[in-house]
Amino acid sequence: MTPMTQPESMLPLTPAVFHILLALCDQERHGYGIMQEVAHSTAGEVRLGPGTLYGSIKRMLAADLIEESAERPDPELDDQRRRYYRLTDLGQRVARAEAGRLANLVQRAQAKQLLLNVRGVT
Amino acid sequence: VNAFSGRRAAACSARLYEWLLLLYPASFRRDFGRDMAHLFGDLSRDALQQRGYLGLLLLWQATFKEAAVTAFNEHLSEWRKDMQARQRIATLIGLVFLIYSGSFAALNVLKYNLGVQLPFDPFAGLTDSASPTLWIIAWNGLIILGPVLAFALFLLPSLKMKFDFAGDERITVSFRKGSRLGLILMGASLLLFGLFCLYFIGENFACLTGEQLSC
Repeated sequence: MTPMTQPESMLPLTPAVFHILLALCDQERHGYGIMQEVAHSTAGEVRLGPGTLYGSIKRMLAADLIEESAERPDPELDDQRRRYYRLTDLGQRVARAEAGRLANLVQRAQAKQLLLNVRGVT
Repeated sequence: VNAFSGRRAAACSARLYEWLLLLYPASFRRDFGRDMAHLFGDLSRDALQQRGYLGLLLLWQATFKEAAVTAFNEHLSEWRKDMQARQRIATLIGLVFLIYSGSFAALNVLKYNLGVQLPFDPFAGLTDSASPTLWIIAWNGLIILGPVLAFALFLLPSLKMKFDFAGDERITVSFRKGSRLGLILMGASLLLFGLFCLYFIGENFACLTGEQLSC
């Protein structure tokens, strides 16, 4: 990917890729950390298997959405063998663009009164 | 499950998972195999802590299905990458098929439809229907299937397949934007195959409509 890559050209993202981007939005995480964060933030509804997770990571590294981090948040507490990942600038822009796209979809669904009976949505 | 046997079971589970990783392409295993086995060890430990051996069993059940699907996807992805790397070779082979079939089609039209006297018989040795050998069948088959093979060779590098299992299993197919030359060659292959089909229908029209009883 070139630095001029337009985030919109990479949309729509697969659910797994978007969940991984969301998990890495606030901090660097290793594979297990990403998996735990995704399961936690979706109340266990989305559980990525190792193959799905690392298959997505492979493609996201190739697309320059994430990168491996050399730093360890707390080397004392953590296993040195784990590889940490963080969002790149492009990854952040793509996550924002996908969130915007999904928000537009939700707005359209709301306008069509499809979300009236969904709990928590007014 | 007590802590000691739990640790042993998780380690054993991770070791077994390393065998399952053999389903994945070697390059994928080289890049991520160690991390995946490590991660699976963590997942096994969690499953044992939460639901005991039943949890571990359920984890394995889900993992088998996931591994089969994702390994298939990784092989497809590797294969596509290989095809892209060998795109020139594939295009060249496709061109050979196309030229081989195309020249026979052209010579056939010249000789039998336009009545042009050719200085040589291009079909000598290929139309001995009395005793067709495997060699004759193969060469004739190649003439007819040439455009199809050429089309596949021009198309495959731009084909992107993915086995998806979001609820119901399916294969999704998408296309990478190909070059203009690739599109022209694919068009030429389809045109030639279409010509063969028309020729076949024309030659066997009476048989196909039932007007002629023995074909």
